[in-house]
Amino acid sequence: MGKNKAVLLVLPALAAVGILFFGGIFHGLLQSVGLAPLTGDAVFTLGNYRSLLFSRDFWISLSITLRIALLSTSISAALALFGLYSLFLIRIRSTRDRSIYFQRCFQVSMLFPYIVAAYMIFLMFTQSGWIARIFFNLGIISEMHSFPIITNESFGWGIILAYVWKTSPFIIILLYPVVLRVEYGWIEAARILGAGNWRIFLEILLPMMKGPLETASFIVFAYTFGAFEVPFILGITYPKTLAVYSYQIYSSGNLADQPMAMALNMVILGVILLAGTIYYHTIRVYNGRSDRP
Amino acid sequence: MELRMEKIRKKISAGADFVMDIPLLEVGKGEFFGLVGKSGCGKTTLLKIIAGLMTPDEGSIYLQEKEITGLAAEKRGIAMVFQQDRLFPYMNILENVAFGLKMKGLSKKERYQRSSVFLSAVGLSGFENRYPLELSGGQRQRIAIARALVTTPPLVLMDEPFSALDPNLRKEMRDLVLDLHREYGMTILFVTHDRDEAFYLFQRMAVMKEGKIIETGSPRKLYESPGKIHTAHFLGIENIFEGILHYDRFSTSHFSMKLRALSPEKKKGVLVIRPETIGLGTYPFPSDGEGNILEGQITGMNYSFGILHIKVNTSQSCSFDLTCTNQYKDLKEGDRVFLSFPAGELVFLPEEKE
Amino acid sequence: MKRSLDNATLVPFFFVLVLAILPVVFLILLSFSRGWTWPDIFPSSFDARAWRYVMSPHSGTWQSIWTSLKLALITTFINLFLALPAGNALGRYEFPFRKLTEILLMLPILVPPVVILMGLHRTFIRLSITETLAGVVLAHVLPTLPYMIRSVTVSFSKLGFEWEEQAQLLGADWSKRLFHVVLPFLMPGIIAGSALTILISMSQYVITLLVGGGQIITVTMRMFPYVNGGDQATGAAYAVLFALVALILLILLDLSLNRLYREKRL
Repeated sequence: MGKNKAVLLVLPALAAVGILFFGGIFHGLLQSVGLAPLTGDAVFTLGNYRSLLFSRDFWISLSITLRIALLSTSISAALALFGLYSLFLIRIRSTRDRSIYFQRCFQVSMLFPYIVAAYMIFLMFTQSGWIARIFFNLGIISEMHSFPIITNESFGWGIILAYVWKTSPFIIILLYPVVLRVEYGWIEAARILGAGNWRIFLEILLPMMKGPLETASFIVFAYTFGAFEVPFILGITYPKTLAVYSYQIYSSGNLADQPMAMALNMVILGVILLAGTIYYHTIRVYNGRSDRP
Repeated sequence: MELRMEKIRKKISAGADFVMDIPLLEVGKGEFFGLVGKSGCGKTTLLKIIAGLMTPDEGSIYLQEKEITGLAAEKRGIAMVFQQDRLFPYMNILENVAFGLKMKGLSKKERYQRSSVFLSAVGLSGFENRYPLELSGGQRQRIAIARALVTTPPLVLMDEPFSALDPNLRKEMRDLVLDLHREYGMTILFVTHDRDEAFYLFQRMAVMKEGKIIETGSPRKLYESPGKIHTAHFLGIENIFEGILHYDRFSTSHFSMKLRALSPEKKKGVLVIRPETIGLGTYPFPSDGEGNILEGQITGMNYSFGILHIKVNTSQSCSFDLTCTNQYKDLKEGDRVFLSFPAGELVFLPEEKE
Repeated sequence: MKRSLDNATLVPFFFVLVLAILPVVFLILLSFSRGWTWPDIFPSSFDARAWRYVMSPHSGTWQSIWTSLKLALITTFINLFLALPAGNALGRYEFPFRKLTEILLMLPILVPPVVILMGLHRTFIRLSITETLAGVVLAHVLPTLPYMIRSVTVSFSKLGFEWEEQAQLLGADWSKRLFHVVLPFLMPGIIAGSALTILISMSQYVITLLVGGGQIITVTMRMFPYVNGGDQATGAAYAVLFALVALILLILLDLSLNRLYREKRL
């Protein structure tokens, strides 16, 4: 009885995700292989994928998208870990735990949409931006043009900065409960056994954070790999990231090009799926032994 | 001296506010030393100060004649076993035991070798790959002991390590600690509020009250000739009577007795009578020359482990606790009995000035 | 010694914290600025021009705030309707493929919604729900539902069955159990899930544009031209306004739901 009831309970949510999410993927896949044409007969074709495969623009786009996603994820995770270590230090400093307030401060970027994050980075880091002005007034640079070009350039530093600003608080939120879960008793025991704060973080907190950190990093990677808004504002016309590339083909007004956009979307999905498989297997192998309560 | 503390002061404000004040505490090398007292008397705080988990407001601490007062806990090399096992739950048993050696930077091979030695010393060889949550409370506490000893620390602190365990397990654990102490000869500073544990384990102990050490000595000496009322209380002596000593006679409003103590002028104080020194008879004793005999009625009897615990109300409506071996099988509640008090066993303590 | 090592970490930490908050200060300054030219670090003069424009009726700001709120709240209710039963099953029941179900329900987090919605776009057109609020709500359910499910699942697993059984033994019928036992337990999860739903829904730009076809104008849509190369002060004012609306909404949510149940409990 309990089992059937449970299945009934998840059914509406499963149906919603099934129709919206898997329906969307499925229909995109059909369009990308010519099986759901707007007019005419459905003819199976891999032509869209083939032309992507031979397109230099596609490979460049894929590689810069990957680079941006990987760099954003690593920098964001590293910064989050540094923040978590600091929160841990603040927490154990006195008997009154003040780390929660600092954690809240970090979350300020959660209140802004990605487009604002991109906008802020643009305003702060363009050659006439705030940072350049500060540098100029400090005498670090002598004119506007000696400030490095960080926004709207081909490497994507601005995009990465915007992602780091938005996603490192997200990782901190996901991992902060681990900092709170560490008992003072363990800390005292570890200290008696010769571990300083850094070793305690390394030996006790980090193993506990590993699982959630991998999950959070994977979510960040998937998001930064496929998101549209930030590279749209901070990117350049060529080369584009995959999502911008795809959306611009889709919304160009030429309906015949839409299946190509779908094929690009399938590539984005494929990369995320591949990353997911790698992630799943590495944590499987890695945590086979230590995945215990 | 392995451990010396001088002029330690620390303000304590947890529940009751008081100032910990230890002018001097010395523990010798290889000694099994106890810190006893009721809960909240500051014994755990003192232990944490020694460990470096708390800093004293004033005073200095020396370990092997080197000052460690300002040294961080992780640099002191002192081991500690807590009331809860505090094993790291996501590390297996071997990793837990080897943790201290890892912090010292020993190679993996050496860590695991030495850890196995101590695992077998606590009788848990073969548990290396298990996790703490798979073990019973007693086993976990054994692991915690192995983890503390594996670095062969000069000083091991134990903070009521067995009080969370099943009573049956406690004796086993006490024997284990005694064996380990005999074998490795480390200095142990052990905190407890359990007087059975104190008698069983300690060579010497300090009795604490409200942050102060009121008396130090071997459990036996403290029991047989306590110097402070609180010590007598703590060690379970219930026969404590207030009165006045004049020459060699101690008098209360209910009785008077001849003592070995002598005071030419009247002196207020208490008389401490250990329950096992009281003689019991069913007929008037032949006078022993001291005349310390009272008559009374049995109001309560308990039997445990071959010992009779008897409560007697004397005719002067005042009550004594006494213990004797099981030679008075026929006695029952309500019987009239005679009590004799050998003067040599009576302890007079003059009034303490606060 | 130990302290100074800690400070070697904490000083950069505070620096990073300042860096995280500084852009917000900058935005506020910018929204009130007039004539902020190179190389001034602070605006030469202040006025409320951008704010006056943003707040004026002809800018359409109020209309867009109302649209954003409607979208966020309807999305939240639909999410609750779907997530509460699902969270109940995932958090407290054992059933075949439970783990797989959980993963399937979490998957939409991992794929940017625009990728999915391009695939659905034609279907939406065929169903004539593009350029309608309903269509955009559906588009917003996609990226937010997993967060809601996750939050309430955690609450349900904390609730278990024991408390309800205890209440039942004490004579509480199902409605009393729901209001006095179940809901207070679920409230933190519901609040967390709703907060995330509101934040994510309000932040969406490209999927609102795609499905709404430019007819459903949210605050994010309204500000987009300004943050993408338009008037800087106006863009900054919109960004600050957005954060304020979101913050007020979250505080109200937290206060009202928590107050309601805290009073009942005490």
